[in-house]
Amino acid sequence: MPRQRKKKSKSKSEERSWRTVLQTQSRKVVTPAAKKRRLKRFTKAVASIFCSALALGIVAVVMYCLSVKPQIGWRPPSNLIRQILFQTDGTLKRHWLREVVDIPKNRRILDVDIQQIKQRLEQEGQVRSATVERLFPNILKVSVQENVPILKVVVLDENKRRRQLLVAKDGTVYAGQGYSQATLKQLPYLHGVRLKRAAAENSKAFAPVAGMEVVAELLEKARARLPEFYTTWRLVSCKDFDGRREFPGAVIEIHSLIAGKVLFFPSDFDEQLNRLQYVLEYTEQNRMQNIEYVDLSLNGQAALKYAKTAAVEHSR
Amino acid sequence: MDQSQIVGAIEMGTSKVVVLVGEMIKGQNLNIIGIGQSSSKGIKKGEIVDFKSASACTHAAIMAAEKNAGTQIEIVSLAQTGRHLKGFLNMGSVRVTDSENLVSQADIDRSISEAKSKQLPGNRLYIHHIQNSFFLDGHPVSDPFKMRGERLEVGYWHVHGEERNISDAIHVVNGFGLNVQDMILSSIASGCIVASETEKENGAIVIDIGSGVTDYVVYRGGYIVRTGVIPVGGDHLTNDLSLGLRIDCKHAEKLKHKFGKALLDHGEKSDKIWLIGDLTIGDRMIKRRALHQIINARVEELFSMIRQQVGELLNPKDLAGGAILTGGTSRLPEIDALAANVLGLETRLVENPSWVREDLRGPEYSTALGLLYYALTNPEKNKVSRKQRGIFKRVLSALRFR
Repeated sequence: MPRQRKKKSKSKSEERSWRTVLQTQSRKVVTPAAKKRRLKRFTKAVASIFCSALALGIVAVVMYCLSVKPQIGWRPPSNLIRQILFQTDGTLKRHWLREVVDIPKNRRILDVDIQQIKQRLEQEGQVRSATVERLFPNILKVSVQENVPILKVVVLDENKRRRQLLVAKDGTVYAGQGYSQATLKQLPYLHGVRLKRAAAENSKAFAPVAGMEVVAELLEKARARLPEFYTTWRLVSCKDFDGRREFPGAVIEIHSLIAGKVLFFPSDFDEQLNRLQYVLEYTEQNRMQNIEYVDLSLNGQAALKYAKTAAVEHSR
Repeated sequence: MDQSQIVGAIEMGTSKVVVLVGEMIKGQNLNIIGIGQSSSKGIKKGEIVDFKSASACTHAAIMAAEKNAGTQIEIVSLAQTGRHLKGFLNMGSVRVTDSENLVSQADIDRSISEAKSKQLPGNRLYIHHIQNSFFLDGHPVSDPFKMRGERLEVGYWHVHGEERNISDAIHVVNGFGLNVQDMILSSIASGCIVASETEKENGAIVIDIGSGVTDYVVYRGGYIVRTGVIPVGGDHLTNDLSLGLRIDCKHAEKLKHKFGKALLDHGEKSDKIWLIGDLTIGDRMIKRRALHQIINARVEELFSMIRQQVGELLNPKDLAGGAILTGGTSRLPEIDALAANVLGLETRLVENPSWVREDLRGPEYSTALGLLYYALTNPEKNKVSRKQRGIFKRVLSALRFR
């Protein structure tokens, strides 16, 4: 059986041992030798603490440098913008650019968000597309391609006042700036279309009008083929045309000063314009009455109505 | 992990303070790496009479030792001596409780507790409790555990001293910023280094004759059975010479060292010696025999006092190892012969072990060496001190700032 030593309680002899003498290292040094030793120990302690702190500091700095991933940052020299070049293929002026986009003069060229400027410009209805470029070291170039109006339309604004807007080839409805009165006077009115507000929240703009590409094609061909007759066109009605060419009964109605109403089928404009040209030439040659109504949408035929006389069917 | 400790052994004597610095490696090897000494002031017969002076000389010695060692002392072993030290034997006796009379650990513990239970007067403190042999039914045994017997006895030799003297010595060390890890009797420290295990087993008396006091320790059967302090030392011889020859102490000391001898030589009745010996005006001649007579009387008295104190223990049968003389005063020629005559024992002069460096082999360093040796061979105390070393000290040690 292994020996088990019991824990001994303190005997009277242990209570009266020399070990009970309280050993204190007095603050007050007794001798110069003790003072010198204390100073030496203090100096060593301070030095060791300093060295430890220094070593820890070095380790911390090294670890920090290792943890920070080096980034190769390259920036070309960035100067203040000296000039903003504005180019457009339309009628917009420089002051329009300043109103739409505010670029402070004392900005550095690299600090300008060109993508943001482009997006802001393209929000304007008159702008079809925009390009913003940095020409280093200090020139910002803004190039704009504008929409070309084909029609004009009158709307009532929120104060119930009439307001004239323009319609572009892609159906964009916009206010229009910089156009001359002569240009605006030449544009036919758009009729028969109910304008809708754009889908974006709180947008005051109108949604694009459907079918304007087709109307633009007609207007373009008419201007080219019958330029004098085109100048008498005053109104384009799309009440029977929703943009779908092949829809049964779809017609584009033109109101002109000399031919009354002219109805076009939304395709094959060349053939229809040929027939119209023939009708107009025939009428002029034979000094007939003014045309009140021409329907070119009939297949291969044209229905004609003169003023004060019955419609005469004419077959080619 | 640091496995070496720097141990300082401090002996505050009447003539000098000796500090030895040792490096204890893994508790198995000891290298003496430094020594410091200073002339003692404020210490008389091993007792501090002037605290400030004693502190100054002790601190100077410690500082010199640390500088010599190139490191700072971590733990201190302090030698204690002086007239105030007394010893007594106390026996603890218990009946074996086991029904089959087999001695249990509890019986041993009870007997030890009984032996240590003696109370001391209010102004005295225990320094040592030295276990002697166990006796089982009157027969000496080294380890009575599981032995059969009815009565178990153990003897303890207790050494105690005055609280004031002990605390003064401790506070001198504290004043330097060190704590005393262990306190050992000067005689025991000397005995553990100068007496071999065989001599201790056979029985021997080690007598350390210092400048102010003479310490002795008696071994029997490998145990320490008696210690004592006699307040007579080399200074008394000098004093006697000074008074007897009517010369100053400085010249008396010089004569003692140069011409002193313990035994009387019948052929030297008319021999004379010069007091100073360098043709100084005022120099005179002194009879050599007078010198020897004074010395012989005092030394004989010293050994007689030892014989009286040790008493019946001092017999050649029990102390076959004889008497071993050490201490600075043991350099006195023929002192061993005189001791043999007075004590009736084979006497030899000691030289410290050969593994000690040459400058420390003199008998005056026995106590300091013994302190270091004691610290090495008492591993329990060293383990405690190791645990107390904090992380900061270990770091400093690793950084070699300490």
